[in-house]
Amino acid sequence: MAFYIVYIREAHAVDSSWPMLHDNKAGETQFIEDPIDEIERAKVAGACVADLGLPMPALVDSIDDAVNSSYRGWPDRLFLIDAEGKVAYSGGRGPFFFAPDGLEQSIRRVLGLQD
Amino acid sequence: MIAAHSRRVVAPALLVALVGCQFTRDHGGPAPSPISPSSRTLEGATARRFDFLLESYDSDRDGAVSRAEYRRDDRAFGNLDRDGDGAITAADFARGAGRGDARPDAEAKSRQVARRIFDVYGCYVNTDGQPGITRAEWTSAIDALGIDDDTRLTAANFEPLLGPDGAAKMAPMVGMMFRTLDVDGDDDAGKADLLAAFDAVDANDDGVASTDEVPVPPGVGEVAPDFTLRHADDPSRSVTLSSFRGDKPVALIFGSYT
Repeated sequence: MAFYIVYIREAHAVDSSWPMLHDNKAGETQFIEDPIDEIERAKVAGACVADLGLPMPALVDSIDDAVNSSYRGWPDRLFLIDAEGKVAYSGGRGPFFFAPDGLEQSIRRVLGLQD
Repeated sequence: MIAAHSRRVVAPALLVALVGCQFTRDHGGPAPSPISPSSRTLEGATARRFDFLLESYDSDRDGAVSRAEYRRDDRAFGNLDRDGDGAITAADFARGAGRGDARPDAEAKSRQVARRIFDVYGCYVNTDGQPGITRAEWTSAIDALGIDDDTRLTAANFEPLLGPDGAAKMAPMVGMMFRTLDVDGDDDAGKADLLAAFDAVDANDDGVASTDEVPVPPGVGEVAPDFTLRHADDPSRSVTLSSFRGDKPVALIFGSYT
């Protein structure tokens, strides 16, 4: 199995049409502006991964949101691609339908593991 | 091999640690007092956002950020300058600030709702392994949910598709869906309205809501769209999705910090 975060356009950047603030684990308020190039997006992705202690590598979507567009990933969504390169799990749109359990069930099925 | 796979399956459990909404949704933290006179009329997070912008861009300290002072792109400036007067001011952050855009007509509203429905629920409807959603798939989903011409949509209608918990999460949205789907104003949002939404989206009338007409995520059975993306921590390294074919499955977690 391989796991990757596909880091996409911010959902609630301070300069977005639906801005929100949040505090990192050190309690410091984060004022995240929507990145305007890949270098900036990679920097924010790195801060995200570090702050949340995410265990898988993050890949940075191009600033024209190409991969986000083809997968409709925004604001957050889960997929499983099987070893034949086909979609084995196409998750619901986050936040309400972001379902790690559904992804896990699909992984078990694809790997032939018993529940 | 299976034991090794079992260990790797622990990783999905860690996904639960990814808060479902954009990785992190802690809205907490005490709000400091506004630091600028211009933000004194604002409160809480709104004041803090405006203060951040003033601190970052208001180089002449006049309590407003002009387009010349704002060093980022037009899209972001347009989001911030809500009243469109050419400067980011406290007025743009006051409750009710906005341009008062003209309301879309009924057909445009129907199309907007259809696009949202397809984006949110397309993954449940698009099950034929082909890109896009056919009118037949759409009709089958409507029939499977027991929606007829006289239905007044409720969250309960979505239980067969989403389960009781998923349907409960939908409840706040159903009212909005109902109001905008009821294009003909006959106080129901039933099969006819949902089919009309599909037809509004299917601009070329070929019986398929294709991905260039409406956003639909790739469905089960489709060939996953290929990509090559750089690692966030090392831009000299990249990953191509198709390189895993014949090797191993790949889980993709789309999201952002905010």
